[in-house]
Amino acid sequence: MQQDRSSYTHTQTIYSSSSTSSTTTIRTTTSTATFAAPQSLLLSQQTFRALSTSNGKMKTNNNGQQEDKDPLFDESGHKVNGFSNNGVSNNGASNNGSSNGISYSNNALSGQENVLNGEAAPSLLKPLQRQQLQQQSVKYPPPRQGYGYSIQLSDEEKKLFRLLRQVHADTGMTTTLRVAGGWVRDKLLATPEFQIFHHDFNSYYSAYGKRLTSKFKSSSTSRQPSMGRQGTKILSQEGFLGPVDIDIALDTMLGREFADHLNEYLQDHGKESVSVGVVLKNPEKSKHLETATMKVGTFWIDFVNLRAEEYADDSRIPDLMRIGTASEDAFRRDLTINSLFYNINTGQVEDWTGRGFADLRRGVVTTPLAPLTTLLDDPLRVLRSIRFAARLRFTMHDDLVKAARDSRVRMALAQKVSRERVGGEVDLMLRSPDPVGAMRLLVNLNLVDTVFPAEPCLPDGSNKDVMAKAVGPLFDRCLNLLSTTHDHLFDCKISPPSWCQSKRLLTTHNVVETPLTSDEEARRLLWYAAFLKPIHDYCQFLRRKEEATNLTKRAGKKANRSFISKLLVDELKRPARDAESVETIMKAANDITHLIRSGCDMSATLILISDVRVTDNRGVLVPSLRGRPIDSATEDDPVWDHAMEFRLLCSEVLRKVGGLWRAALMLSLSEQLASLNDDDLDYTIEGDIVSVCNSWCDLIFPSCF
Amino acid sequence: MDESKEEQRQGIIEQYDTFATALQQIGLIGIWGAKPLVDGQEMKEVLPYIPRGPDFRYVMDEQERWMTTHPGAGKEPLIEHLRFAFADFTKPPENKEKGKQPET
Repeated sequence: MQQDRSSYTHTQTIYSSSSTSSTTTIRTTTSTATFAAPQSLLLSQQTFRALSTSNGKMKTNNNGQQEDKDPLFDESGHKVNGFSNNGVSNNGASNNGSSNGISYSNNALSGQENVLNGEAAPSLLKPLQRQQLQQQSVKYPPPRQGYGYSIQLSDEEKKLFRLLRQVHADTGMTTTLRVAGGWVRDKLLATPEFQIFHHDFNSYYSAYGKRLTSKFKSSSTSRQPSMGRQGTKILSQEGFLGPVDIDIALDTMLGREFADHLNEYLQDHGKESVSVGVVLKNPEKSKHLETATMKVGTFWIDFVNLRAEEYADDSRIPDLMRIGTASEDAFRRDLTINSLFYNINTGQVEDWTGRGFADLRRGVVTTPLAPLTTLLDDPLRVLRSIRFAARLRFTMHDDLVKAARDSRVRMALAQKVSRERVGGEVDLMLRSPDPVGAMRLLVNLNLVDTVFPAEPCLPDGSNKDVMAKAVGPLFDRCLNLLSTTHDHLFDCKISPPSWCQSKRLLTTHNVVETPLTSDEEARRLLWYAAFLKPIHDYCQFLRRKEEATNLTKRAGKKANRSFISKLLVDELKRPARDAESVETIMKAANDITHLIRSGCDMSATLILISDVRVTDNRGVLVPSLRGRPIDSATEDDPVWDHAMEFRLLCSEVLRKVGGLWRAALMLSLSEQLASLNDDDLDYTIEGDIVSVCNSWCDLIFPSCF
Repeated sequence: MDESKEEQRQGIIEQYDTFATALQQIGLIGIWGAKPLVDGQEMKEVLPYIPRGPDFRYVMDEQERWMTTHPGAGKEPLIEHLRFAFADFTKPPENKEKGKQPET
């Protein structure tokens, strides 16, 4: 790493825009220190100022309302974007546009300077234009490249690439080896050059640990589709862990051929050859080129080919797929930040779309071609964009937002994409650091009904379609509950309540506990539960209404399944155990709400005041009251009896929910908190919270108070 | 107006914090891992005339209830309680059932 850096000696001007350097004062932050430390990494004063400005702006804008005022976002975003819409097809080569704000020179090896000029004349590419683009792309100028020396390769990766280069040299092949996709993106994001833009923002949230729940008070005020890096609190920062899957794209050779060469080389050098799996091409399942998979060292490597799609006039299904050039491949990828290649031959990152570096730096999710074209090519990309926005906490570009709202995209998503893939994306969104942001995007891009289709999951009965219409508006409440839950959990992480502090996780019967803030699995289930509970409650309400009017017993167990089970298992193809756990959390949350409403909070206070305790002393339960040990078999103090009554009631709930009790408690609490913010929403089904424990209503507590 | 809302908020959070602390303090966290002190086989010895079926289930549930409300009380008092609560199952069934017994 050190060596790599010291050889990185050219001056790197990232932004030298006069418009960005005017307003805000220079802020000295920890991240700038790390940035400036390696002497060889020379930054111009202007760049530094530009960085500081952007950071300063981010801080002031953290309420998410003025994010687009950020000069970097506004101007450069626009300029760079003009490029995508027409710059490519018309005038790739002869640009010198340093006058328009963002001139960008960054070239470690060749010293070549590519300057962008974006004359904006936005229009969506028609298929015809796109063909022209593909024909012209041969003449398209070389990519911007760089950052090769900044990328930190693990020893295994170095070894692997050295091996591949040797195979390449030994066999005298002409093909270029490029790592494609997510690996490049994540590696770049981990470099200091890119972290500077992201790191500072992250440290903001760990430093300001106050309760800020008013931010999401009303979902109606935050109509912005994407909060981007502004305004989102996150519980876990996804570490920039090196991925283990590496996609290697070849340009003139089939994956299998190269894999064979690699094996030959390994054998010649007295090493064991590796078995190669070949995924054959299968045009019917839109797999047009074969892939060779092999395990080298610790890596699973996919050898694929650069792809080019050729389109019949109007069809969006490519009818021919051939091996393409790097440029063709880059432009047909889903997002600019995913279109970067790491060229193993030169050790440099190539940005063929000309926007990958900038978008990665500014934190923008956008497509290489016109957004609508890219989205319609594969409608799943709209969900992938949302997921990457949530995972990397990037902003979605305005043009992409516009295209994502297009009804054609919605239709295509509903008709052409398998439910498994949709469900998979949803799950990844909820695993991401910003599940609230992802769901908010789904709602604001009008995709939520398509992703979570409620109608087939409603209980059978009269006027199902009318009932389904009422579900749409419920998603606002879903979002409110999810963000309330998320924010409260965030607050708990910052200042854990006494019962969550890890040293005090008192348990009995050898049960090991993890607090929610570090239990990702329980949290994921909680997000499902929180986001879907309002609709689930509505369905339960319909179901009971139906049962009350129609006294006929409904058919079979299958038809009787709950909404959540139908939605998650049938519609999103998630495993049944996920659906069960989510339902368990929701039921237990209702139980807890019920307990607290029927006076258990008072009993809890009494227990704390009277210091009633049952502690587990190496497997033996030791009861005590007011600091003295007692014999629970004979004790007849009314306070003790009351406490045990409470113990029995709560044990029934806890036995059912088990280790997910924290999630259930959090959901119950968040529902209460959310209802405070719900004044503007019409809480028609407030009174319909299902109670599994009706009998507890009748329980009258002894009058201890 | 906002202030009262914030107060309400804090009130709710406090309510739940108290509740959760109480759960923890009276040793409920982990209760789902509790094993019955007297298992099915042993129960037949404690209550020799216990019939199979729902009655058996009921006895086991009663055991769970008693154990929950008498934490750390041990096995002896539990057995005593069960023998007292289900005195019928400690002695041979009454005449009516007695007549039936040879048939089964």
